[in-house]
Amino acid sequence: MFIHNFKYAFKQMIRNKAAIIWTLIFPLALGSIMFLAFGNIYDSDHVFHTLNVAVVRDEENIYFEYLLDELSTGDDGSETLLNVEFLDRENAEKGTVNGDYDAVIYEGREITLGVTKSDIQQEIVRSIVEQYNKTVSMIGDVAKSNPAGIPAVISTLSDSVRGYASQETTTDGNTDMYTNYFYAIIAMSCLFGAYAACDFSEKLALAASELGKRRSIARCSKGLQAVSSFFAMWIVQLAVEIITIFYLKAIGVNLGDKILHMIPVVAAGAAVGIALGTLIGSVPVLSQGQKAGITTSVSLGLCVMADLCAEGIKDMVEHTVPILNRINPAVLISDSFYALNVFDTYERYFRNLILLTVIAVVFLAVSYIILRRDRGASI
Amino acid sequence: MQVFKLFFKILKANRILILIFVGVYAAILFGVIIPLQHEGTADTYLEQKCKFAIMDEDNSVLSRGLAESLGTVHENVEISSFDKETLQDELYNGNICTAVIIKSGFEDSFTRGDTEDYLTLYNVPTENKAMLFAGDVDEYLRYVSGYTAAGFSMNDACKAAGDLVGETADVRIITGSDLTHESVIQSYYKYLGWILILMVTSVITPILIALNDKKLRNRIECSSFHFSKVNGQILMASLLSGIGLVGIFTLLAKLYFGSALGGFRLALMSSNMLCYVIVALAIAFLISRITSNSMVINMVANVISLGMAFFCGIFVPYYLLGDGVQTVARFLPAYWYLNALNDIDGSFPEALPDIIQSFGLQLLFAAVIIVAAMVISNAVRESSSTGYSSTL
Repeated sequence: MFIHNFKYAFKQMIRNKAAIIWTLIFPLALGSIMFLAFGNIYDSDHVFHTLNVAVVRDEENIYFEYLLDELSTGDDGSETLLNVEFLDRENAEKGTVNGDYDAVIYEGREITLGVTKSDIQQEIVRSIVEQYNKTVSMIGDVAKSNPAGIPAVISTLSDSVRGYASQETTTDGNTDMYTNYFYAIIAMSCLFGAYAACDFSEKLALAASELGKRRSIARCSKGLQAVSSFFAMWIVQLAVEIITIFYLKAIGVNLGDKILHMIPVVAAGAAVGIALGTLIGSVPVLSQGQKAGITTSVSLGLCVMADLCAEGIKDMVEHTVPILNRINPAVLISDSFYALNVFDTYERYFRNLILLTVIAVVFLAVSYIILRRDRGASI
Repeated sequence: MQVFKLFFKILKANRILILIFVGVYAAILFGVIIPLQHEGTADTYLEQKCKFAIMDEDNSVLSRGLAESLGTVHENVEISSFDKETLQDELYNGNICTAVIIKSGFEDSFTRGDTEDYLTLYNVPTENKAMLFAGDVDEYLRYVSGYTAAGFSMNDACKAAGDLVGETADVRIITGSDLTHESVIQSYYKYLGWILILMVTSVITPILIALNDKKLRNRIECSSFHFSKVNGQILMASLLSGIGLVGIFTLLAKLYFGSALGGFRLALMSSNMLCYVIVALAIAFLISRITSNSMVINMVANVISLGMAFFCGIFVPYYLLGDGVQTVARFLPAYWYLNALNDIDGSFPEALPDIIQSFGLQLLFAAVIIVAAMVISNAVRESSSTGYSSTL
């Protein structure tokens, strides 16, 4: 009986071509749009690139020019800190307003800075200018208190161009926080499996449809019908998610190297989406429109909490009410991908996977109870 | 006014759904998104501070001086733990740009001239902020090193270096630059650019589908009711419900922002929202002519609303998007909605002609979408009358 039901549920699924097409279009189209929109933002805005600086020589300062020369000369073709161009005031400022330069340095006895915006690039240039001014100030200090110490200071400053600290990373994986948006879209696609499930579940509910009435008197338990439909929908949804992952990888989204490990996550995610739809669809007092509205609101709400539309929401919740992140399937899906992409261990990945499975089982169990209790007294 | 009344009868039947939508989206806006926004000022240079966490196992004069100096220039934050997983989470989420770990014996190693094993910075070394912070760590230690070489005691050297770190360079803002920062009110209206499309299409499309039902259409067509009258009443009812939606979100804004939002600015914000709602209604009309499948409606609504939100700078600041994307965005109504919003918030009243132009372009988009929907509608009707049905 299971096979029989499964076969027909599966046929029903794949014959609804519009639904299948849009289920697939949704993650693929949004993934492509997102990749076009901000596939390179991390590299262009967060990763360091040589800063273009216009220098206006109000008064020649050979020491500062020596520093500029040092900072704009790279070893063996490596990226330099600055790319310096000497210009007159008008062209320097015009070029900075047009975005050709990150800042203008006004060279004189004291060095000052002109900027068009307050950003990290400008802050780095400011830091260079300040370091020069402070070094001059320090030599002045020493000259006042202990003039004999000046050669030792200059010698120390020349020796200490090297870094004092060792720098270490916590991961060799992807550190691009914008990848979160792609994780959230995959999570959303998983949860949108709820639409199809909601529709199927309605067809099982006695009071909701004619088909539901016929199915209720059939010699097959509602549990069996629900489980067979669940598996049929799950297979289709899982196929969509696998296509999405491979598509995103193919267009160049950095999802890491553990692509195959992502499949159990989307399998559990798709199960949660379908279980959620089954649960919403099984509530007898709601109309079809209300069920669709609730499905949209719930899945969107959960995905917003997983950083779908703004960075930092998931983290804010983690620092205030962490339990919400443990029961939000969208966050669990997104966090599993993140954990796979940056950690060497699988502890967090498996924890999320288990939680997703538990959520799916709970949703299904509650739906089963609701569907079983429906005795048709209201008809 | 039969059709007009019928529209609102169906809308009334969906009142719970509308309440759910308004409730959920208002909760998302006011509970999650608005608290994450930061108010900025427009006319001064804002120092870019890096957030860092520090674990000082040395607790020496030098390590305390370093922590204090870094705290002056940047922002010292507490984190729950310094284990690798927590550090990775905090770095990834931008809560810190660097974690500083100073091991016991740091000051002695500094005197010996070899600190690398005692001072570790956990960061992403290629990132701008990490570079800036590492530069400031070196800067402080270099000053201390210079002062001690000049004969200062460690205490005096740390104090002198600390004083030096507090000095700042003169930064001036170049005239003609655009230093405007997005206000929280602007963020509220910006996110509505996503929510309004989603809400209008989810609520209005099913009503338009119901009114486009073949049997109902046939009954109306054989009555004395003229076809144009039917469409006119549907249009009026849609517009009125759109105005109602604008009213709800304007009221919510007024309740939340109070006196900060009012007068002509509020009127322009609401007019902009109304133009955008008309675009959303046009999209709802288009979807209703393409499909009647509720699942497809929701998918299309999400693809359009989220797609425009990503492309036009609702979710990610517009200036961060690539040149190509910015060019394409101009061909989307959300771009002109946001453009008008920026002008109202940043350069009103000088930009009034630009604001009106943005309103006009949104309405033009609505007209084009309606024409496209009517063409599709005719094509579908013709194909169904000849026996072919639309695949969607």
